[in-house]
Amino acid sequence: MRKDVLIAGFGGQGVLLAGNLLSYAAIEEGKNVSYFPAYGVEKRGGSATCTVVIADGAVGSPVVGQPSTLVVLNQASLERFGARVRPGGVCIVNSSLVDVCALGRDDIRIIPVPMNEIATELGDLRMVNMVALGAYAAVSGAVELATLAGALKEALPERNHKYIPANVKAIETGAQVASEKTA
Amino acid sequence: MQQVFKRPQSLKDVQTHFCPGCHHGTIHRLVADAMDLHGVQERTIGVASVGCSVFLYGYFDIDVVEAPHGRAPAVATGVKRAKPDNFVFTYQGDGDLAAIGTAEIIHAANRGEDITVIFVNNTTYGMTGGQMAPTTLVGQKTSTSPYGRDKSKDGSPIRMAELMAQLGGVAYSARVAVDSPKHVLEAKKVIREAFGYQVQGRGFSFVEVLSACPTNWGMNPLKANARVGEEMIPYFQLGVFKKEEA
Amino acid sequence: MILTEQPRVRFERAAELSVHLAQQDSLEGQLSKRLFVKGNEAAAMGAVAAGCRYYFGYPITPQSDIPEYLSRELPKLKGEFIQAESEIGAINMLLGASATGVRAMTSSSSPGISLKQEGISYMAGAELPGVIINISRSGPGLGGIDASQSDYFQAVKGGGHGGYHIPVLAPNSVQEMYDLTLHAFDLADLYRTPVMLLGDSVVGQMKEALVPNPRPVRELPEKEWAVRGKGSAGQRVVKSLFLGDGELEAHNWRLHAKYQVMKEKECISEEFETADAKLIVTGFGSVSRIAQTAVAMAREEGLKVGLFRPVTLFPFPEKALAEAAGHAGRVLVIELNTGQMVEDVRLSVGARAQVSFYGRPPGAGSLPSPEEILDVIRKNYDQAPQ
Ligand SMILES: Cc1ncc(C[n+]2csc(CCOP(=O)(O)OP(=O)(O)O)c2C)c(N)n1
Ligand code: SF4
Repeated sequence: MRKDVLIAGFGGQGVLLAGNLLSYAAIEEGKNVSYFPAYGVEKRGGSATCTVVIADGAVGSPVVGQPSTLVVLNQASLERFGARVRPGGVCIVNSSLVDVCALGRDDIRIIPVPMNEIATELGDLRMVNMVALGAYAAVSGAVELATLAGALKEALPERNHKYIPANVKAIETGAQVASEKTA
Repeated sequence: MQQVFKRPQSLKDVQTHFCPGCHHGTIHRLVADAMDLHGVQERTIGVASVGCSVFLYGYFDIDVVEAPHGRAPAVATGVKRAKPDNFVFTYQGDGDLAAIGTAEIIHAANRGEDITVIFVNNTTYGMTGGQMAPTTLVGQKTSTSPYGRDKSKDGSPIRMAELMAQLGGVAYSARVAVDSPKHVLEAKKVIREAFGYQVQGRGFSFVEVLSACPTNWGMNPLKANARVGEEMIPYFQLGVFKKEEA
Repeated sequence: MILTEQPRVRFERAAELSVHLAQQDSLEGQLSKRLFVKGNEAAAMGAVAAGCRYYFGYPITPQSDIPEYLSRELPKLKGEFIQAESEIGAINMLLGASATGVRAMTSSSSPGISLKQEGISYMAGAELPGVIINISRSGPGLGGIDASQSDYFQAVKGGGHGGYHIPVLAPNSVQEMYDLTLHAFDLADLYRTPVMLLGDSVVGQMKEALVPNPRPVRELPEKEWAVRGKGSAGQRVVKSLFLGDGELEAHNWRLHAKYQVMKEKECISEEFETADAKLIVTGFGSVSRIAQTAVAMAREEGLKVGLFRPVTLFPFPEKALAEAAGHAGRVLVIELNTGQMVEDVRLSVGARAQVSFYGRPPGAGSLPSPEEILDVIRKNYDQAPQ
């Protein structure tokens, strides 16, 4: 098994935390993982991007050219990375903010999830990254939802542990909505 | 707090990359204003240092040479000696000027090079993400002084404007701030005066400007601006420390 | 895409090198919990594990995580962390601390490493141990902060004056940032030499699982040369000035002999799918990771391609490479520059194989993807002797 994902959004959407949490969960499951945040010049312009590669064996390249899965939280990221998704791959989009029509690709699977609405309904827009991650886990099967929930303790600083139950709910809801879309 | 005044001619009409609440932008305006006043824009050669102000050429409509980290006074020396009729200034941060570039600034000043140095003191390394600088205040936490600056191990913050005033070659040395309209007006006057020294060929002039770095201080722009008056000015006193009369 | 074979680590001196070796059986019983850390932090942790308690540095991107970590941790261990006034200050603080026999280090990135060259030359001349981590970036001049391999020549050919060499280790994972830092301290003490760890922002900034393996036990010589205040014993002097007739010449030959021993004993390389390969891809550090995936993709297409990765850049694993290349007949060198290691590859393989080069000089957006390397592999494979 080797899975790669590119997660992209704007600063403040918690993209890097999502990547970290996913990595912690993969480690918890005994897998190998490589997390690579966009760095330097790429970081400019208020965008936040990271790639995560999860594998049973050697991870290989931490640099992902054509991701098999793209998770986009905002329009600019879809425009920037949409064309890079590997043919036959998957694009999970935050349909609250992203219009996928512009993408014009019929060789990939597009899974719209209204992440902002879900997060807001669950009480806090800032959980949009958790909704996204839940959706990714459900679609890719890269890690178990339960492991993600368990890994929150590692990924979040102690002072934020009180938000864990709400985050677990956001992960589960994201997973559920995405599963319905793929069923 | 930001003063609204007309864009000086020496400044390009572009958006800067500085963080919200950063004082570099205001200081750029004051420098451009002084160039305009003395009518030197067309014969100015700016020397950019390595720090958040490295993109000097993006904002000033003048010729610019980029110097290695800390070496701007040496580069400026070379420029000025080769082209004495040009107006030459450096614009340097506190990491650049007061740490790695200490030898160059001291010796350019001591030789009395006919250049002007604008020294931006924000008590930290801005561009590299908020490490301790030679100007970091005692007790101030930074990413490399996580327990606060410890005077017994890290020394005391260096007061550059006073130090410069001690050197024989220095004609003019002052410290200003831009945290209030009143201070901005004073700063404007001082920078104009410092540039005047070079225009009249009277030797080395130095202006230290206290500056806010909200990003690396972990403060919002208002709080950061307030810190300049509350914490910095009590230690880094404002004033003209040397002014050689003609 | 499944990698069909775990990389085979090849130690030309396997018995003594227990480093590197998350995969190594003998350590398996002792494996501690897997942490998730940045490469830079792993190197800093490795330094602490190696017993280094003295750090001297100056801020520069993209290595600042190292001083930031050590500024937190060393005070707790009664060590010293000094943010020097410059890289020149830092390397000379390292020189001074090392002269007293303690384990000490510095870290920086390319422009800062350039400033350290004088000090490194003095340390090499005075035969002082010390570890220098270079999380290199792009140049020349101020260049940029992107991942770069432009400083290969500077690192392996003796970056300062005087014709010396220092061992250079090129980690390609977070685990190796830790393991090879431990190894670097041992090499430094064993050979009385500065040792450089050469990485870039890929290995420095990425996060992976880290098993903080226990420090391998290696017999190291007593530091009988370290200054300590002579008391009633004999005088000790740490210096690189030799003015006596023939003295400096002899000193240079002695250093040269030491480099020959390193070449014999300290080469490390790694091979992946090389046994039946018709084309050997080679690259160091971050590029080797990208190439590894490209090679796996090529294998899926049925192309017989293998990967050879030098872990030590000085000493360069000439023999191992020559052997692997000899079987294949063709070598493709990939670097994030316009061609530096390729020269050592050519020298190593001689007439045994044809050598071609694919370079990507560093800069924003210039990091090649596995797919791009696969393309280059395909083109080169067609020309490989079948
Ligand atoms: C030789 C060398 N060492 C280190 C650096 C990294 N570096 C870039 S900017 C900078 C200092 C920034 O701080 P400061 O001079 O205070 O300016 P500011 O960004 O705060 O305006 C440093 C250390 C470098 N470019 N070159
Ligand atoms: S980091 Fe600090 S000095 Fe640099 S632009 Fe931002 S606020 Fe200004």
